[in-house]
Amino acid sequence: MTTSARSDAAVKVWDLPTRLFHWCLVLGVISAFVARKFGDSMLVWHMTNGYFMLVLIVFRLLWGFFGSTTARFGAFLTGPGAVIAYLRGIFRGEHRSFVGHNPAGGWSVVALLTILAMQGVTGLFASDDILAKGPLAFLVSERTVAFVSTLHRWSAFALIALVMVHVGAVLFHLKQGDNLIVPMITGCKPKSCLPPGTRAVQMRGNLLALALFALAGVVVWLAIASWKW
Amino acid sequence: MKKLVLAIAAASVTAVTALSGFADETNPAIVHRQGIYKTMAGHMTAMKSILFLGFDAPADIPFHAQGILDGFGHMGNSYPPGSDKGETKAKPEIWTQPDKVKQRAMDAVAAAKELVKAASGTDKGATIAAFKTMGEKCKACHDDFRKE
Repeated sequence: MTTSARSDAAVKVWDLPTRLFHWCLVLGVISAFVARKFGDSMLVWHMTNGYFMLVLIVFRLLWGFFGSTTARFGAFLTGPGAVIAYLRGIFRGEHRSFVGHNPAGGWSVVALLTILAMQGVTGLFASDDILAKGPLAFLVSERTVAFVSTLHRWSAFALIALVMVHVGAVLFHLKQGDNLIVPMITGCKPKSCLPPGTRAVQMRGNLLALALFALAGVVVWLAIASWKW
Repeated sequence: MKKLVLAIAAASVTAVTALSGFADETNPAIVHRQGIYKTMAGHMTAMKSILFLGFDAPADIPFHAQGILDGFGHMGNSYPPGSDKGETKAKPEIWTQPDKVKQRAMDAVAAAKELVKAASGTDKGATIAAFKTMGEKCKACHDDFRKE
């Protein structure tokens, strides 16, 4: 991809691992709710789903340091000043385009990752007081289990709220003529939707992502299994 | 200095709020109720260890199944007036929607009877199915009437 491409040419902005991660996360969140609401009473699927989500999140953290430019925390996290300036601009009706995340979107990624990580970790220590018990609940006192379980249930509501903000923002951009959904599927944005003078995004290989995903799997497995050794 | 005082004040308010949530309950009706539920949860957990975790005691299954069914016999008097006051996860709806509570209780008792019946047989698969159904009935009532 060169900068001399035609003005309507598509530019690759999201790498495959980031896109796969995103849609896996969507499926994982839905499946967590469905499994809790309608799944078996042992919560087997809900818990398996949770381990998978933890692996996804650890992978995303790693990808935030070693991934393509648009996936890096260092590249898309800005100071509070930039976020406020961006939001003020939105309220004034200004329309600015970004290669990857806008300043507010970047922090909403962090918020979503944080709450999902919290859901995953609290789930490890939680109990439904019937049949399901997180694999690490045996490490802490009964009171802690009760407290953490309450947190786990409450932060599900926080998660729903954040998802609604996220979807709401995407719809808002869609209404402004900025389709963010298609690029998250195809990875490409039309050049006309990018700030002028945008240079090609530096992409990192899928193989590196696969290796980091495997590493994330090992990290999560060790973090859970090693307590029983 | 001002910041430090503020931080300490904020921390202690948080701590006291959190601690009061863990205070021991002294309302006798709540103490009794939680005792009954813990007894039943104990039977469920013990049964889980036999059916799923490989603890080898098939002859104990009928005892635990009967224990669960018997436990429901002690739920009728577990929600006397005033037992909503205290550290409890019981939602106020329990006292305002008695018909729905009764329905949930009857469902659960029916499941417990099925569990006792299955446990007296030799079909482990049937016992496991009945056990899971029991868990679902517990969950159905918790979803409606137990605080998050």
